[in-house]
Order: sequence, then structure tokens, then C-alpha cells
Amino acid sequence: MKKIIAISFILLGFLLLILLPTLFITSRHSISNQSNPTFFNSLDIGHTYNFEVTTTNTNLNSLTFTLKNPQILNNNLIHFKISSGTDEKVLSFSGSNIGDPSNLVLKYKPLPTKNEGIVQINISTDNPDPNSLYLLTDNHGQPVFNSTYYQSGFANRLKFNFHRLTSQLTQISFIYKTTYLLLLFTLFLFL
Amino acid sequence: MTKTAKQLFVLSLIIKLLLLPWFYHPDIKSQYFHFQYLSRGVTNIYQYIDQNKTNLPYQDTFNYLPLTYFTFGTYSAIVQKIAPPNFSTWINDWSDHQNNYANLPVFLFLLKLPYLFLDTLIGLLIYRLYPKKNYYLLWLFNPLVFYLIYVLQNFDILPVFFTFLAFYLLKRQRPSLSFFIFGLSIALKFYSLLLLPFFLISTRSNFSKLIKYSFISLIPLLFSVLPFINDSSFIRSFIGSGLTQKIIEFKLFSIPVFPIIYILYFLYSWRYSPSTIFKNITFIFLLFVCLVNFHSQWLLWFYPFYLLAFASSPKKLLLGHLLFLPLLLRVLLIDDNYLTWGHLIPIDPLFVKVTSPYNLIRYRLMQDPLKFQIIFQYLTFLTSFIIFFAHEKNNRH
Repeated sequence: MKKIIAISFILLGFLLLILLPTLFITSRHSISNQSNPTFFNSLDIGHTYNFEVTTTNTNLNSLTFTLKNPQILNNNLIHFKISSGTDEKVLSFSGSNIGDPSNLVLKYKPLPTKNEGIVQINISTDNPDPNSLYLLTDNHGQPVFNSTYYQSGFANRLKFNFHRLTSQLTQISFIYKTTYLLLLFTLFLFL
Repeated sequence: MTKTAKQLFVLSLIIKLLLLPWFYHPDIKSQYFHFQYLSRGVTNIYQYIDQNKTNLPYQDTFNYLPLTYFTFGTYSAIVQKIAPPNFSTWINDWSDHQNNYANLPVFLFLLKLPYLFLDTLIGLLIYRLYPKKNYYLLWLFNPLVFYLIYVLQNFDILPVFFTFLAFYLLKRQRPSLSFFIFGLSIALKFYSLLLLPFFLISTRSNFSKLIKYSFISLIPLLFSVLPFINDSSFIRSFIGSGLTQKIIEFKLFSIPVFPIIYILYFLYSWRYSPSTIFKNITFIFLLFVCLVNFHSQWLLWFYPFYLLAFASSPKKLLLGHLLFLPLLLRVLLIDDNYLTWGHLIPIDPLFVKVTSPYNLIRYRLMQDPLKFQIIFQYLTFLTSFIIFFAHEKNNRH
């Protein structure tokens, strides 16, 4: 009986390691631009940003930019247009949502993109003052950003998490895995 | 020990070995970040942090006692020898990528192994104290024990073990050794001082013996603190630290309530019920959760005694544990994802980004989580009163 309980716990544990992220983690990291060094460049009517990113995943569902609104004085609107060719999202925020500096997370319903498709992003503003709102960019003037994609389908996520877990376990050195299993096995003999 | 008891101890070990690698709380990392400096030859960690603060990747002060530093610093040196090579990189990595280590479950397993040992020893002591009753099972297979020791993973289990060992020795009529062991607990963490007066009066000794036992119990603290006593950085580390600050936080007419009720209750129990150690610690625990804005890991300080106070019947056990519902709900509503989903980052680092109950209430339900916290605080008061009076009534019968 005690052996059955121990085996049940081992199986349940393994199942939960795959099932928990499958149930609760639906968004994962997608493409990003985290190049160094970075600079705060002006964001005003005269300085808009148009750039393309090539996504590796479909269903982009969030973009994060770093902006700066010194002393949080500027209340002009900032517009983000995200277009995949087949669909388009337009999101506008008031400058009052920007800190000194802060990350602005744009969350939206998943934007269907073809695998390895191109997403166009346009950042513009109503702000006429060139010295009051800033966007973090790399040294080529490209905005620094992070993005996530929505991982659709339970079975798809389950498969992904199984592979992720097995890949994590293979990265752990053989000696630790063997010692751990030997310890469990030895204790098991005493049941 | 019976064969069945042995097997049950082994089964609990297997279950805990399965839990060890897969839960995380940043406290274990921040504590071991400081402990690692012993293996680098730093004997005065307080001064070292003070002088090097700006160059350290983690800049918080070390707010624990010297014996804690030397005990876990020694274990940290052992872990550094046997852990995967990137252990030191992880312990010093406080960047956005600090959770992305494939070996994180191995680190956690190694760091928590002493906790497993101490937890099992507490189970053994309970078994030795009550061999004919199944009280040890309530400790060995208790989800609350799993949570307090392996999920919150604070080193508090070591002082808790010493207080319980002191209780065991007291029951075995070895008071001097008991108070010395109790002293080790005090030298590791000040909280034990809250329990000391009740241990002292439970001996029903005369005044001179009480003085003697008090002195014995302070020996480890005095010896371990003495070399640091003139060090301003050591003194600064303790001014305004967690417990001392929090027990005087709740005030009525500018008078801190917890210390006053504590002293009054102590005088009352010295006069009327000095030997009922479980009852006295239960009362202090109920008072503590009602009047002190506690950290969740602090619940462990009282728990072995509290559990045994209610262990005699399933009905009593259920009654005693009613309290943990509002207590744990209060913890869940703290604005810190590492107290909820963040515990699961060894399974997947992205768990730290899953919406916390706090943010769910605030941004999805558009309600103030503080409102719910206050409701749970009132429920804590209410259940504490019910438990105390029901417990008193049961004892009278």
C-alpha cells in the first residue's frame, strides 16, 4: 500500500510539472530587441518610429516599450499601430500613463501572423514638444522592445511543456539526476 | 520504533524529496547570498556589507544573528563544493534573468536538505514523546508543514527544531540542557525569546533556579554576539528589523498592544497555569496573528506546539486549523507574486508573470484588495476568539 502511495506521488508530481504550466501559462516570450547601449530619443510629432519585426511565432499578444515622461508633465496621446498585413491593432495611451521612465505593456487580443511573418509597428504621438517625451532605442534608433505570443490550444501547450521539461532535465548533470533517483530508489526499498 | 512507523517516516521522506526541488522563494537566495561570504573569509558580515554595499549585486543588509551566519555559512561552503558549477553565478545573479537557470531545482534541493533533516527530527521527537499516539503523522504528512518549511523555505526550521528539542528535554526532566538548547534557538533568531518565559515557568522552579535557567539560555547568545557588540554596523542591522518593529506596530492610545497583553497574560499564567505550555504558546500564537503584521514564515515558530495542543481529536484539530484559512488568504492577497505563483518558477520561470490574486482583484475585478485583507483580518480575530474559548472550555472539562 505504501509503495503504491509513493509511486502515485511520483507520477502525480511528474504530471503536475507538465500540467501546471500548461494550464496557467498561455503567453510566452517572442521576439525582442534588447540591444545595448540604449538611448532615450525624443517622441514628438516630428519624431515617429516605423519599424518591422520578423516574428518566429504566430499570435503576438503583447509588446513592451520603455518610455520616459520627465516629471510626468506631458499628457499628449501616444499611438501604437501594429499590423500583420492581415490584421491591425491601434492602441492609444495618454502621456500620464508614462513614468520617469517606465515600461509600457501593450496587451491586446492575439494578432494572427503567418509563421515567420512580418509585423509592422508604428509609434506616433500628438505631442508637439521635442523635449518632453522619450522612447528607449538602440544606437540605430530602433525602439527597444519585448513581445509575447499567445500559445493556443491545450494539447499544443501540453506537448510544448513536455518538451520544455525534458529539455530542462537533460541540461541537469547526470551525476545529480542519478544521485537523486538512487536516493529515492533506496528509500523505496524500505517501504 | 515499530515497522509501520519506520515505513511512514520513509514515505514522508520520499514525498518531501519530491517537493524539495520544485518550490522557490527569494528569501532562500538572499540568505545564502550573504552566507556565501563565510567561505570567502568574511567573519564580520555586518561590517563587510556596510563597507561594500554599493559594489554588491544584492544590497540588502544582513539582519540575522552571528550564529545564523556561521551555521549556514558553513553549510553554504559545503554546497558550493558539491553544487553544479554555476551555483555561485546564480547566487550572485540578481538580474532579470536570475530565474532562468536549468539547475535551479538542484540548487534548491541542496539548500533545503538540512530542512528535511530537521523536519524529520521534529517528527522523531513527537514520536518519542507520544509513542502510542499517531501525533507524529500529523507532523509528517501535514500540508501546512510542507508549505511553511519547503515552499517558504526559511531557515527558521533550525531555531524551531531547537525550541522543540528543548521542550522534549524539559519533558525528560533535563532542564539545564533544555535551556542551553533553547539558548541556541535564541542565538539563531530572537523570536524564541517570546516563548522563553513560558518555558521557564513551566519548570515550577524557585526564583533562584529561574535566574539560573534564564542565564543558561542566554549563554549561546552572549558568546556569539559578544565579538560584535561594539560594531556599529552590527547594531544598525538590528535597529528596526522585522520582529522588533512589528510587535510594537499595533497601538491603542499610542501604547503598543501586543507587548502589554503579552506581559499581562504571562503574569496571569505564572500565577494560575504555569505548567500548561501548549495552552500558553497557543494563546501567544493567537495573540500574535491578531496583533502583529506577521510574515508567513513566522507561523512556523509556534506551529509544532500549536499542532500538539489540538492533536488529541480530529474535531479539535479541525477547530484549531480553522484559523489558517483567513491567515493564508491574507498571505495570498499580499502584493508579492513570489508568495503565490512565483513559488513555482523552478517548474517554469514564467510563473512569476502569471496574474497574482492581488492583481486579479485590483485590475480585473476592479476592487481594492486591502478591503479583502481587512475582512480576513477580522475573520482571524473571530476564529482566534472561538478557538481560544473552545480550547479553554475543553480543558476545563
